[in-house]
Amino acid sequence: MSKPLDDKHIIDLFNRGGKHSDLAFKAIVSQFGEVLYSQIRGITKNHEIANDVLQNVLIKVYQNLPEFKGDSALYTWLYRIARNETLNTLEKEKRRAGVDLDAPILEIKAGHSVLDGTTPEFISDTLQEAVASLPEKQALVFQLKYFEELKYSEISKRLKTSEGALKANFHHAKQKIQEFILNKLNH
Amino acid sequence: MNEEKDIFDFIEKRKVDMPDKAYFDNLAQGVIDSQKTKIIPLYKRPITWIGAAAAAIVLALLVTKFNISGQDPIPAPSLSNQFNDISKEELLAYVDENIDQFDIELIAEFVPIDELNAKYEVLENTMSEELEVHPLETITLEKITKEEILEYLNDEDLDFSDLEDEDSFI
Repeated sequence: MSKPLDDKHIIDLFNRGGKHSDLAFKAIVSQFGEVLYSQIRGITKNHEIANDVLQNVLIKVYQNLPEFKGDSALYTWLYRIARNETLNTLEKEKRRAGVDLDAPILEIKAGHSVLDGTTPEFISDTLQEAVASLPEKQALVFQLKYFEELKYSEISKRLKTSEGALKANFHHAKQKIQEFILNKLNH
Repeated sequence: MNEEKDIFDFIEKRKVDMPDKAYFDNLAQGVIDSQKTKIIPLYKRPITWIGAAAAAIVLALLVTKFNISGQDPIPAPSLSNQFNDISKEELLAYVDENIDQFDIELIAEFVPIDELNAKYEVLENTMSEELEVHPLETITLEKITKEEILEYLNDEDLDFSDLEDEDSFI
Protein backbone atom coordinates (compact mmCIF):
# COMPACT_ATOMS: atom_id res chain seq x y z
CA MET A 1 0.00 0.00 0.00
CA SER A 2 1.39 3.38 -0.98
CA LYS A 3 2.19 6.01 1.60
CA PRO A 4 -0.86 8.06 2.60
CA LEU A 5 -0.93 11.63 1.32
CA ASP A 6 -1.39 14.46 3.79
CA ASP A 7 -4.40 16.74 3.59
CA LYS A 8 -2.61 19.64 1.92
CA HIS A 9 -1.09 17.41 -0.73
CA ILE A 10 -4.48 15.91 -1.54
CA ILE A 11 -6.18 19.29 -1.81
CA ASP A 12 -3.42 20.83 -3.92
CA LEU A 13 -3.45 17.83 -6.20
CA PHE A 14 -7.23 17.95 -6.59
CA ASN A 15 -7.22 21.65 -7.41
CA ARG A 16 -4.73 21.09 -10.25
CA GLY A 17 -7.59 19.46 -12.16
CA GLY A 18 -7.70 16.71 -14.75
CA LYS A 19 -5.88 13.50 -13.92
CA HIS A 20 -4.44 15.13 -10.81
CA SER A 21 -7.96 15.56 -9.45
CA ASP A 22 -8.67 11.91 -10.18
CA LEU A 23 -5.58 10.80 -8.32
CA ALA A 24 -6.40 13.03 -5.36
CA PHE A 25 -9.95 11.77 -5.19
CA LYS A 26 -8.84 8.15 -5.37
CA ALA A 27 -6.41 8.86 -2.55
CA ILE A 28 -9.27 10.22 -0.44
CA VAL A 29 -11.37 7.13 -1.03
CA SER A 30 -8.39 4.87 -0.44
CA GLN A 31 -7.43 6.53 2.85
CA PHE A 32 -10.86 7.34 4.28
CA GLY A 33 -13.31 5.12 2.41
CA GLU A 34 -13.29 2.24 4.89
CA VAL A 35 -13.72 4.37 7.98
CA LEU A 36 -16.51 6.35 6.32
CA TYR A 37 -18.21 3.15 5.21
CA SER A 38 -17.93 1.68 8.70
CA GLN A 39 -19.36 4.83 10.21
CA ILE A 40 -22.30 4.81 7.80
CA ARG A 41 -22.87 1.05 7.93
CA GLY A 42 -22.92 1.14 11.75
CA ILE A 43 -25.88 3.51 11.64
CA THR A 44 -27.75 2.24 8.59
CA LYS A 45 -27.11 -1.43 9.41
CA ASN A 46 -27.49 -2.35 5.73
CA HIS A 47 -24.94 -2.54 2.93
CA GLU A 48 -27.22 -1.26 0.14
CA ILE A 49 -28.26 1.79 2.11
CA ALA A 50 -24.69 2.36 3.27
CA ASN A 51 -23.53 2.10 -0.33
CA ASP A 52 -26.08 4.71 -1.48
CA VAL A 53 -25.19 7.04 1.33
CA LEU A 54 -21.45 6.68 0.82
CA GLN A 55 -21.85 7.34 -2.89
CA ASN A 56 -23.77 10.54 -2.16
CA VAL A 57 -21.15 11.54 0.38
CA LEU A 58 -18.34 11.06 -2.12
CA ILE A 59 -20.20 13.04 -4.78
CA LYS A 60 -20.57 15.93 -2.34
CA VAL A 61 -16.91 15.62 -1.47
CA TYR A 62 -15.92 15.74 -5.15
CA GLN A 63 -18.13 18.73 -5.83
CA ASN A 64 -17.23 20.73 -2.74
CA LEU A 65 -13.57 19.95 -2.23
CA PRO A 66 -12.46 23.09 -4.11
CA GLU A 67 -14.27 25.12 -1.44
CA PHE A 68 -12.62 23.25 1.43
CA LYS A 69 -10.41 25.82 3.16
CA GLY A 70 -8.41 23.43 5.29
CA ASP A 71 -9.50 25.09 8.54
CA SER A 72 -10.05 21.63 9.97
CA ALA A 73 -8.57 18.25 9.16
CA LEU A 74 -9.84 16.71 5.95
CA TYR A 75 -11.22 13.72 7.81
CA THR A 76 -13.16 15.98 10.17
CA TRP A 77 -14.80 17.53 7.12
CA LEU A 78 -15.49 14.10 5.59
CA TYR A 79 -16.92 12.77 8.84
CA ARG A 80 -19.29 15.75 9.09
CA ILE A 81 -20.59 15.21 5.57
CA ALA A 82 -21.03 11.48 6.16
CA ARG A 83 -22.82 11.97 9.45
CA ASN A 84 -25.24 14.53 8.07
CA GLU A 85 -25.88 12.52 4.94
CA THR A 86 -26.54 9.33 6.90
CA LEU A 87 -28.94 10.90 9.37
CA ASN A 88 -30.74 12.86 6.64
CA THR A 89 -31.12 9.74 4.52
CA LEU A 90 -32.57 7.71 7.36
CA GLU A 91 -34.90 10.54 8.30
CA LYS A 92 -36.12 11.11 4.74
CA GLU A 93 -36.49 7.62 3.39
CA LYS A 94 -37.92 5.79 6.34
CA ARG A 95 -37.36 2.72 4.25
CA ARG A 96 -35.75 0.59 6.87
CA ALA A 97 -38.95 -1.44 7.25
CA GLY A 98 -38.66 -4.53 5.08
CA VAL A 99 -34.91 -4.15 4.66
CA ASP A 100 -32.63 -6.89 5.90
CA LEU A 101 -30.67 -5.27 8.69
CA ASP A 102 -27.24 -6.29 9.91
CA ALA A 103 -26.90 -8.10 13.15
CA PRO A 104 -26.52 -5.69 16.10
CA ILE A 105 -23.12 -4.06 16.30
CA LEU A 106 -22.94 -4.76 20.04
CA GLU A 107 -23.18 -7.91 22.12
CA ILE A 108 -24.00 -7.76 25.81
CA LYS A 109 -21.94 -9.53 28.40
CA ALA A 110 -23.62 -10.76 31.49
CA GLY A 111 -22.97 -9.04 34.82
CA HIS A 112 -24.51 -5.59 34.47
CA SER A 113 -27.96 -5.58 36.05
CA VAL A 114 -29.29 -2.76 33.88
CA LEU A 115 -27.92 -4.18 30.64
CA ASP A 116 -29.04 -7.69 31.47
CA GLY A 117 -32.65 -6.67 31.00
CA THR A 118 -32.25 -5.35 27.47
CA THR A 119 -31.36 -6.69 24.02
CA PRO A 120 -28.33 -6.24 21.74
CA GLU A 121 -30.55 -4.51 19.15
CA PHE A 122 -31.79 -1.97 21.66
CA ILE A 123 -28.37 -1.23 23.11
CA SER A 124 -26.85 -0.94 19.63
CA ASP A 125 -29.50 1.54 18.47
CA THR A 126 -29.30 3.48 21.71
CA LEU A 127 -25.55 3.75 21.45
CA GLN A 128 -25.85 5.14 17.89
CA GLU A 129 -28.43 7.65 19.12
CA ALA A 130 -26.06 8.65 21.89
CA VAL A 131 -23.18 9.14 19.43
CA ALA A 132 -25.40 11.24 17.19
CA SER A 133 -26.20 13.50 20.15
CA LEU A 134 -22.53 14.20 20.90
CA PRO A 135 -20.63 17.28 19.83
CA GLU A 136 -18.98 16.62 16.51
CA LYS A 137 -15.42 16.40 17.77
CA GLN A 138 -16.30 13.97 20.56
CA ALA A 139 -18.36 11.82 18.18
CA LEU A 140 -15.52 11.81 15.70
CA VAL A 141 -12.93 10.75 18.25
CA PHE A 142 -15.25 8.10 19.65
CA GLN A 143 -15.81 6.68 16.17
CA LEU A 144 -12.10 6.40 15.45
CA LYS A 145 -11.05 5.17 18.87
CA TYR A 146 -13.90 2.85 19.82
CA PHE A 147 -15.09 1.44 16.51
CA GLU A 148 -11.96 1.76 14.37
CA GLU A 149 -9.62 1.05 17.28
CA LEU A 150 -7.00 3.48 16.01
CA LYS A 151 -4.15 4.51 18.25
CA TYR A 152 -4.16 8.03 19.63
CA SER A 153 -1.01 8.79 17.67
CA GLU A 154 -2.77 7.85 14.46
CA ILE A 155 -5.89 9.82 15.31
CA SER A 156 -3.68 12.75 16.27
CA LYS A 157 -2.20 12.78 12.75
CA ARG A 158 -5.55 12.49 11.06
CA LEU A 159 -7.29 15.15 13.10
CA LYS A 160 -4.29 17.38 13.74
CA THR A 161 -5.11 17.35 17.45
CA SER A 162 -2.86 16.58 20.40
CA GLU A 163 -3.13 13.14 21.96
CA GLY A 164 -4.03 14.70 25.32
CA ALA A 165 -6.96 16.51 23.80
CA LEU A 166 -8.03 13.33 22.06
CA LYS A 167 -7.98 11.37 25.32
CA ALA A 168 -10.09 14.05 26.99
CA ASN A 169 -12.53 14.00 24.08
CA PHE A 170 -12.82 10.23 24.19
CA HIS A 171 -13.32 10.20 27.97
CA HIS A 172 -16.10 12.82 27.78
CA ALA A 173 -17.72 10.99 24.91
CA LYS A 174 -17.86 7.70 26.83
CA GLN A 175 -19.30 9.40 29.88
CA LYS A 176 -22.07 11.09 27.89
CA ILE A 177 -22.92 7.90 26.02
CA GLN A 178 -23.14 5.95 29.25
CA GLU A 179 -25.44 8.54 30.79
CA PHE A 180 -27.56 8.56 27.68
CA ILE A 181 -27.98 4.76 27.74
CA LEU A 182 -28.69 4.56 31.45
CA ASN A 183 -31.24 7.36 31.24
CA LYS A 184 -32.96 5.59 28.40
CA LEU A 185 -32.99 2.25 30.20
CA ASN A 186 -34.21 3.75 33.48
CA HIS A 187 -37.18 5.53 31.86
CA MET B 1 -23.71 -0.73 42.50
CA ASN B 2 -24.28 -1.79 38.89
CA GLU B 3 -24.91 1.72 37.56
CA GLU B 4 -21.43 2.77 38.65
CA LYS B 5 -19.84 0.02 36.57
CA ASP B 6 -18.60 1.08 33.17
CA ILE B 7 -21.16 -0.02 30.60
CA PHE B 8 -18.40 -0.37 28.03
CA ASP B 9 -16.95 -3.20 30.08
CA PHE B 10 -20.16 -5.16 29.48
CA ILE B 11 -20.68 -4.57 25.79
CA GLU B 12 -18.68 -6.08 23.02
CA LYS B 13 -18.42 -4.91 19.45
CA ARG B 14 -19.31 -7.20 16.64
CA LYS B 15 -17.15 -7.00 13.58
CA VAL B 16 -18.90 -5.33 10.67
CA ASP B 17 -18.44 -6.98 7.29
CA MET B 18 -16.36 -4.69 5.16
CA PRO B 19 -16.32 -4.65 1.35
CA ASP B 20 -13.00 -5.42 -0.33
CA LYS B 21 -10.59 -2.91 -1.87
CA ALA B 22 -12.08 -3.32 -5.36
CA TYR B 23 -15.39 -2.00 -4.06
CA PHE B 24 -13.80 1.28 -2.99
CA ASP B 25 -11.77 1.56 -6.19
CA ASN B 26 -14.89 1.10 -8.30
CA LEU B 27 -16.83 3.52 -6.14
CA ALA B 28 -14.20 6.21 -6.57
CA GLN B 29 -14.02 5.67 -10.33
CA GLY B 30 -17.81 5.70 -10.60
CA VAL B 31 -18.05 9.05 -8.83
CA ILE B 32 -15.28 10.52 -11.00
CA ASP B 33 -17.00 9.33 -14.18
CA SER B 34 -20.40 10.61 -13.10
CA GLN B 35 -19.00 14.04 -12.32
CA LYS B 36 -17.08 14.26 -15.57
CA THR B 37 -20.18 13.54 -17.62
CA LYS B 38 -21.98 16.31 -15.77
CA ILE B 39 -19.23 18.86 -16.21
CA ILE B 40 -19.45 19.76 -19.91
CA PRO B 41 -16.53 21.87 -21.04
CA LEU B 42 -17.48 25.43 -21.89
CA TYR B 43 -16.63 25.07 -25.56
CA LYS B 44 -18.91 22.05 -25.85
CA ARG B 45 -21.98 23.73 -24.41
CA PRO B 46 -24.58 24.54 -27.10
CA ILE B 47 -25.59 27.69 -25.26
CA THR B 48 -22.03 28.94 -25.67
CA TRP B 49 -22.22 28.63 -29.42
CA ILE B 50 -25.66 30.19 -29.58
CA GLY B 51 -24.45 33.05 -27.44
CA ALA B 52 -21.33 33.47 -29.54
CA ALA B 53 -23.34 33.52 -32.75
CA ALA B 54 -25.77 36.06 -31.31
CA ALA B 55 -22.89 38.21 -30.11
CA ALA B 56 -21.26 38.06 -33.55
CA ILE B 57 -24.49 39.15 -35.25
CA VAL B 58 -25.00 42.01 -32.81
CA LEU B 59 -21.39 43.09 -33.26
CA ALA B 60 -21.72 43.03 -37.04
CA LEU B 61 -24.85 45.14 -36.85
CA LEU B 62 -23.17 47.60 -34.53
CA VAL B 63 -20.15 47.92 -36.83
CA THR B 64 -22.40 48.59 -39.78
CA LYS B 65 -24.68 50.95 -37.91
CA PHE B 66 -22.16 53.05 -36.06
CA ASN B 67 -19.21 52.63 -38.38
CA ILE B 68 -16.89 51.52 -35.59
CA SER B 69 -14.04 50.81 -37.98
CA GLY B 70 -13.93 54.43 -39.13
CA GLN B 71 -14.58 53.56 -42.74
CA ASP B 72 -17.65 54.65 -44.57
CA PRO B 73 -20.25 51.99 -44.65
CA ILE B 74 -21.08 50.56 -48.03
CA PRO B 75 -23.49 53.12 -49.54
CA ALA B 76 -26.92 52.06 -50.54
CA PRO B 77 -27.60 52.54 -54.25
CA SER B 78 -28.60 56.17 -54.68
CA LEU B 79 -31.06 57.54 -57.24
CA SER B 80 -28.26 59.19 -59.15
CA ASN B 81 -26.29 55.90 -59.20
CA GLN B 82 -29.31 54.14 -60.54
CA PHE B 83 -29.67 56.80 -63.24
CA ASN B 84 -26.06 56.17 -64.22
CA ASP B 85 -27.11 52.77 -65.40
CA ILE B 86 -29.63 54.32 -67.79
CA SER B 87 -28.42 55.74 -71.04
CA LYS B 88 -29.09 59.37 -71.81
CA GLU B 89 -31.20 58.43 -74.78
CA GLU B 90 -33.44 56.23 -72.65
CA LEU B 91 -33.72 58.99 -70.10
CA LEU B 92 -34.64 61.61 -72.60
CA ALA B 93 -37.12 59.32 -74.27
CA TYR B 94 -38.79 58.70 -70.92
CA VAL B 95 -38.93 62.38 -70.10
CA ASP B 96 -40.27 63.07 -73.52
CA GLU B 97 -43.04 60.55 -73.14
CA ASN B 98 -43.99 61.71 -69.66
CA ILE B 99 -43.25 65.38 -69.85
CA ASP B 100 -46.69 66.32 -68.58
CA GLN B 101 -45.98 64.59 -65.27
CA PHE B 102 -42.76 66.51 -64.60
CA ASP B 103 -42.60 69.68 -62.66
CA ILE B 104 -40.59 72.10 -64.77
CA GLU B 105 -38.86 73.52 -61.74
CA LEU B 106 -37.83 70.00 -60.65
CA ILE B 107 -36.38 69.37 -64.07
CA ALA B 108 -34.55 72.65 -63.99
CA GLU B 109 -33.11 71.76 -60.60
CA PHE B 110 -31.75 68.31 -61.45
CA VAL B 111 -31.04 68.44 -65.17
CA PRO B 112 -27.97 70.42 -66.29
CA ILE B 113 -28.79 73.51 -68.32
CA ASP B 114 -26.87 72.17 -71.36
CA GLU B 115 -29.02 69.09 -71.40
CA LEU B 116 -32.10 71.24 -71.03
CA ASN B 117 -31.04 73.31 -74.02
CA ALA B 118 -30.32 70.19 -75.97
CA LYS B 119 -33.66 68.77 -75.00
CA TYR B 120 -35.33 72.01 -75.92
CA GLU B 121 -33.73 71.83 -79.37
CA VAL B 122 -34.81 68.25 -79.76
CA LEU B 123 -38.32 69.11 -78.72
CA GLU B 124 -38.36 72.16 -80.96
CA ASN B 125 -37.20 70.18 -83.97
CA THR B 126 -39.64 67.43 -83.25
CA MET B 127 -42.53 69.86 -82.86
CA SER B 128 -41.60 71.79 -85.95
CA GLU B 129 -41.56 68.58 -87.95
CA GLU B 130 -44.86 67.39 -86.56
CA LEU B 131 -46.81 70.65 -86.68
CA GLU B 132 -45.46 71.93 -90.03
CA VAL B 133 -45.99 75.52 -89.07
CA HIS B 134 -46.03 77.85 -92.11
CA PRO B 135 -45.10 81.54 -92.03
CA LEU B 136 -47.96 83.99 -91.89
CA GLU B 137 -48.96 85.67 -95.18
CA THR B 138 -48.64 89.41 -95.44
CA ILE B 139 -52.11 90.70 -95.63
CA THR B 140 -52.56 94.01 -97.44
CA LEU B 141 -55.60 96.10 -98.30
CA GLU B 142 -54.90 95.46 -101.95
CA LYS B 143 -56.16 91.96 -101.62
CA ILE B 144 -59.38 93.14 -100.06
CA THR B 145 -62.10 94.18 -102.31
CA LYS B 146 -63.79 97.53 -102.09
CA GLU B 147 -67.04 95.89 -101.13
CA GLU B 148 -65.42 94.12 -98.17
CA ILE B 149 -63.98 97.39 -96.98
CA LEU B 150 -67.29 99.17 -97.21
CA GLU B 151 -69.04 96.36 -95.40
CA TYR B 152 -66.41 96.53 -92.63
CA LEU B 153 -66.81 100.32 -92.33
CA ASN B 154 -70.49 99.99 -92.19
CA ASP B 155 -70.29 97.38 -89.45
CA GLU B 156 -67.91 99.48 -87.42
CA ASP B 157 -69.95 102.64 -88.03
CA LEU B 158 -67.02 104.38 -89.69
CA ASP B 159 -66.94 106.89 -92.60
CA PHE B 160 -64.86 106.10 -95.70
CA SER B 161 -63.43 109.65 -95.67
CA ASP B 162 -61.71 108.80 -92.36
CA LEU B 163 -59.68 106.11 -94.10
CA GLU B 164 -58.43 108.55 -96.74
CA ASP B 165 -56.53 110.43 -93.98
CA GLU B 166 -54.76 107.25 -92.93
CA ASP B 167 -52.16 106.59 -95.58
CA SER B 168 -50.99 103.51 -93.96
CA PHE B 169 -54.22 101.72 -94.55
CA ILE B 170 -54.19 102.27 -98.26
